[in-house]
Amino acid sequence: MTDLERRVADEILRIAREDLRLGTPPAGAAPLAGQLDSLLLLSLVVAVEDRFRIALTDDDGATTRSLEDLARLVAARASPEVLP
Amino acid sequence: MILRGPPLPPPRWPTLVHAFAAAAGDPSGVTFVGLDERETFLAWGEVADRAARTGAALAALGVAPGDRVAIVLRTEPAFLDAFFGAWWCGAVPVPLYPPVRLGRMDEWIAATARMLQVSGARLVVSGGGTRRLLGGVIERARPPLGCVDAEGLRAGPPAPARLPAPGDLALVQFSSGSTVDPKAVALTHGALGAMVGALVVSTRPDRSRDALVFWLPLYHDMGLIGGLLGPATYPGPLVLLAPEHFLARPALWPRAVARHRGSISAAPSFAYAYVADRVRPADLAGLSLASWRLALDGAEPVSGEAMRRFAALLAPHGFDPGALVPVYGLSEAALAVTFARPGGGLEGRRVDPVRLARDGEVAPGDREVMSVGTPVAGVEVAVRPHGAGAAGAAPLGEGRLGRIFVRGPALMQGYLGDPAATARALPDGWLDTGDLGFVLGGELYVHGRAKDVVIVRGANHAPEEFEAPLAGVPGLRPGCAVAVGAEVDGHGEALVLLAERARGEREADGHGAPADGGLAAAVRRAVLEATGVEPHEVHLLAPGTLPRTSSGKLRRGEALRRLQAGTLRPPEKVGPFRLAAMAARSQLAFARARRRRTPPPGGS
Repeated sequence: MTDLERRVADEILRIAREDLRLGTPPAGAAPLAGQLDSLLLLSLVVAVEDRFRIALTDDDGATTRSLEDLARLVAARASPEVLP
Repeated sequence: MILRGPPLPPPRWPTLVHAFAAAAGDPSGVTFVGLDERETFLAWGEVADRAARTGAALAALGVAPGDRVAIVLRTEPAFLDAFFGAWWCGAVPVPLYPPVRLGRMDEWIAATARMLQVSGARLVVSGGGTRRLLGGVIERARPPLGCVDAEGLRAGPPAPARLPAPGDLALVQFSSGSTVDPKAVALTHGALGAMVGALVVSTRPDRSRDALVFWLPLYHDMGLIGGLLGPATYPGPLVLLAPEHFLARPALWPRAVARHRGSISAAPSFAYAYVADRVRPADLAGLSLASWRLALDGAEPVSGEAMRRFAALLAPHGFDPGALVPVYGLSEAALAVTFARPGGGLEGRRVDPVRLARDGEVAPGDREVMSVGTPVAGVEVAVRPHGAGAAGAAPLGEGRLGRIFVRGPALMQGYLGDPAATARALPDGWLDTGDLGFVLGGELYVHGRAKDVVIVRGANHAPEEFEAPLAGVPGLRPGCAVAVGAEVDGHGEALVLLAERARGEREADGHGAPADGGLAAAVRRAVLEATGVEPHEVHLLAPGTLPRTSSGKLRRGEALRRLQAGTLRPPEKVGPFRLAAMAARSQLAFARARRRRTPPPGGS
């Protein structure tokens, strides 16, 4: 992961912790679907879209599985002014 | 006794399609609210015009009256185009759920393909990125007319509506969506018209002051029939939010109610608890919720605690706690069966769950059960003895737990393509709901169920969905686990797993011992990964503990009943030592019996 991707991942974890009040935030490379209830996963995706002003399509959903995947996708797609 | 709803007034239109076409002249319409609270308004006339164009395009593609058209779209204008477009050309919409975002794609593809096959859909209407994911589904299910993008269907000229007859099939909705046992509930136009008519009687909408605000998914009966079809045909104002937006930002719901002076809404208990847990007072600053006169609570066991917490959060904003109204229904009855009385209070009746489970008797205790009220217009409810032969049996009196049966004009025609399941569900003109309950003071209380269904957040799941992932967990006895739904105080229903340890697997002392802790965690992870639902409780049991039928099938309902009654115990171990002790006890008993039979010396 690049520095930027790592910062994005940290920001996603902050959202998970503070906004969604997840007790145990998801870990790096493991599939998110195995760590989060489908409701929490959905809330996290929508919160991330909202925070970084991007829209994840259903195709993205098919290829993005872990927190690291999500951070990479956000870093590649979000405009610089909203990135941490 | 039989509970009877008020009479159903005669329908104003032959079918809801007639009513929808006539609503085109009304100034009211539907407002879509986005995550950022930006809004898009479509008057019912515009919705009808788009439907007329979409319907013409569907007919040109080869969709004939009576054909099933599957719809895989989110809460967006395109859903309404596809749904009402299918109705416009005489076809039968089959709404299916869109993919869960991030992961579990294989499960979604398998379940969607299965539901397409069961419903016999000839065409799939979808859009955008979802449509690109449907390739695997189309390949498996092979609908004859393929898959089209909804956006491309409304470019052409409109066509006149092909109006159906009340006896025609109107809608296919899935009572539970999964690969295991999807049940395609077939409803006629007559049934849908009767249901919307009954809802109008129960909610008494006033077009000058009422607005519905719904975020429930449109592939679910409560969102589709209660949320969309009511206002689209009555007609009246409707505000729609996407379920994923509500879940990400639950304050969107009360905020939309306040902005639109919304008055009627509905959700399962989990959503009321979710709002109470997640919405901060700052999100509601300055809002008035005094217009909210009906907050219906149903689709899963109703939690009084969830309603009280919701009311406490919103009361400072003028929300009337009396607006919270428990309701009961199921997709096989087109939606609603009973409604409680508005203002009936947020306290349930406290009963003894053990006596209820063990003896089928209502006695005072500490388990709160909410009244779901009395039948809606045109509907009858009977509670019959539980067990074999319930169909046709005389209804039980008050205070006895039994099986809930329903009769009325909105019942399903049957399960599409499954005459055996249809005959089981509709044995004698009454619908066997598979739910258990009792009548007290002329009102219905739902408590437990006889059918194998687990309801999580208002969605029905076949227990096999949760049991299958356990096959790969080492340390469990293969094929010896059951998934059941149990009520959790304050949160509605949750998933409970009962699994037997493999023989030789070390038994933990007491609860939460390390040996069991690791195994329970593995069970949780396996189920979460495969299904997206986190088990609320995992009980690890000694081999042979789960009750079975004489043919060896696991009895899920009985397992839950014994768990709740505190009688779920392993079979007694019979070793050589124990056999000898039993033999000795038996000899002593014989000896005692002989002594009693022998008259005492000198006696008469």
